[in-house]
Amino acid sequence: MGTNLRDLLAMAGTESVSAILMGGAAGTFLRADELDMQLTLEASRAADTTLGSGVVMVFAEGADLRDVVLRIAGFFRDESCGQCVPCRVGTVRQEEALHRIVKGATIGGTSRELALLDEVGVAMRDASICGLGQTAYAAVESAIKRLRLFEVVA
Amino acid sequence: MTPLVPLVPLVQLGRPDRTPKAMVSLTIDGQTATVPQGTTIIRACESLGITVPTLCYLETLRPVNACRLCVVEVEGARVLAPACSRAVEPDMQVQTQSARVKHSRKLVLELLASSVDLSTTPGMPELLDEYDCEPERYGTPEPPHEPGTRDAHIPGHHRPPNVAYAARVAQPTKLDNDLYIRDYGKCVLCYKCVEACGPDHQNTFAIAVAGRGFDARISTELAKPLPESACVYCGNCIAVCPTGALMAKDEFDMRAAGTWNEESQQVTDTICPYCGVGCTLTLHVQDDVIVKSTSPLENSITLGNLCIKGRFGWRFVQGPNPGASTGVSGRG
Repeated sequence: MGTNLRDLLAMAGTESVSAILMGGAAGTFLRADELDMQLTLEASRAADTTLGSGVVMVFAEGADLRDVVLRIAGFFRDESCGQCVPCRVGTVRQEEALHRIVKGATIGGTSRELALLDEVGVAMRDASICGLGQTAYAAVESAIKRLRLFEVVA
Repeated sequence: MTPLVPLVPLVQLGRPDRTPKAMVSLTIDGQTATVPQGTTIIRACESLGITVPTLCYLETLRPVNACRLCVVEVEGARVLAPACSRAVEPDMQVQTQSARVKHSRKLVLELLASSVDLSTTPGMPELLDEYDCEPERYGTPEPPHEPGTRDAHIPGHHRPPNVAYAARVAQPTKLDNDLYIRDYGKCVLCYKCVEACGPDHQNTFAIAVAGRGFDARISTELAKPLPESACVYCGNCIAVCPTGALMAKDEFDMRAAGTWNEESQQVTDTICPYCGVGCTLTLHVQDDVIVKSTSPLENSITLGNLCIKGRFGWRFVQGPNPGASTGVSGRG
C-alpha cells in the first residue's frame, strides 16, 4: 500500500504498457500516462478508479484491447445470475452493442452505440440488485471514456 | 442486526398485521408520510396516493425485488432502492420521479420489451408510452427459439452474440395439458409463479428458476411436461402471472379464436361449492358462459388462491359436457 503504480510495474519488470486494468473485470482501465497514482484506497478513489480485488493487469503495447473488452462483456453476460432485469438483459445488450461496434455492424453508427452503452450501463449501475450488475459497465465505461478505445477515427 | 427487509412470517403474507408498531415519518416527493415501522416504501407511497410501477410485486407474496421497475431514489444511497421491499426509515428522503429513477425505469422497460413479448401484460402500452421507451433501438428481434432449446442445459464455453439480432426469449407456447398453457416467450422472470407454487402459498414446488443469466427460465423438474411434474393444477401461478405467460387454456383458446372480450365480461362473486373451506370464487362470465374463475387477492381465506376444483372445476355449471371434469387424466 502506498507504492505508486509506476514503481510497482518497475518491480515487476514491465517493459511495455498500453493500458492497465485495475481491480479485475469489475474494475477500470487506466492509460499508460496515469502511472503516478499511489496504490491506496484514497488515491484510487480520487483518480476515479479502484483497487478492487487488488489485481493490476498490465497490457503490453500491441495487445488487442478491444478483444479484452469483448471478453469482459462476455464474462458479465455469463456471470449474471439472471435474477434482476437490468443485469440479466443489460449485460446481453452491452455485449451485443460492443460486438456490433467491433465488427463494424453498428446500428446508426458508433456514437449512437456508445450512447446506448452508456444508457444501459447507468441503469445496470443504479438499478441492479448486487455488485456484479452494478459494476458490469465499469471496465467497459473506462475503455470507452478513458482509453477512448472505440473512438471514430476521423 | 436488523435485516433491511423485514422477515415477515409467511403466515402473515397478505394478511393484516395487527401488532402495535412505532410510527415512522419520512418524506416522499416533498410530502410527509407517517407509517408504521417496517412498512415498505411502496406502501408508504400508496398512503400518499403516489403510484409506483411494478411487475414482480404482489401484496400476497414475499417481495423478490427482481424486476427493478419500482426503484426509487433514497437520498444518500449509492444506488437506487426497490420500493417493494425496502423498509422505511425515520427522516428518509425518497424521490419517485427523479431523473435517475426515470432513466432506470425506462431502461428496465426497454430491456424487457426488447427481449420478452409484453403484448398481454396489462397496463404495458401505457407504461412504455409514459417512459418514452424505444425497445426497437436494441436491434432486430432474434427469431423465435426452436421448441425446447431454451429448456436445454447448454454446457461449454461462452457463445458470442449474433450481431444481426437482439437476443430475446421468444419460443413456442407449451401446450402439454388441458387446463393451462405456458408461454415463456412472455415470461419476465418475476418469480411470482415460483413463490405461489412453492413456499408462499401452495407448497407444491413443481416449478423453479433453472439456468443462469439470460438463459434463466421457469422450469419443472428436468423440464418435464406439466402432467409428469409435481403440479397439482391449482392454477395459483396463473393468478399471479403479470404478463399472461401463464394462462388458462380456455382463455388462451378464446384469445386465439378472437372471441375473448374482457370488457363484455360480467364478474360475480360466489362461494366455491366443493369443500367446506368456503373460498370466494369470482366468476368471469361472457355471453352467459363462465370463462374464468379467480379469487380476490384481498379475500382473507384464499389470498387469491384456489385449488384445481375452484379454479377449473366449474364447467358442470354449463350442463352436460364431455369436458366437465377437471380435464386432466391420471391426477386427482
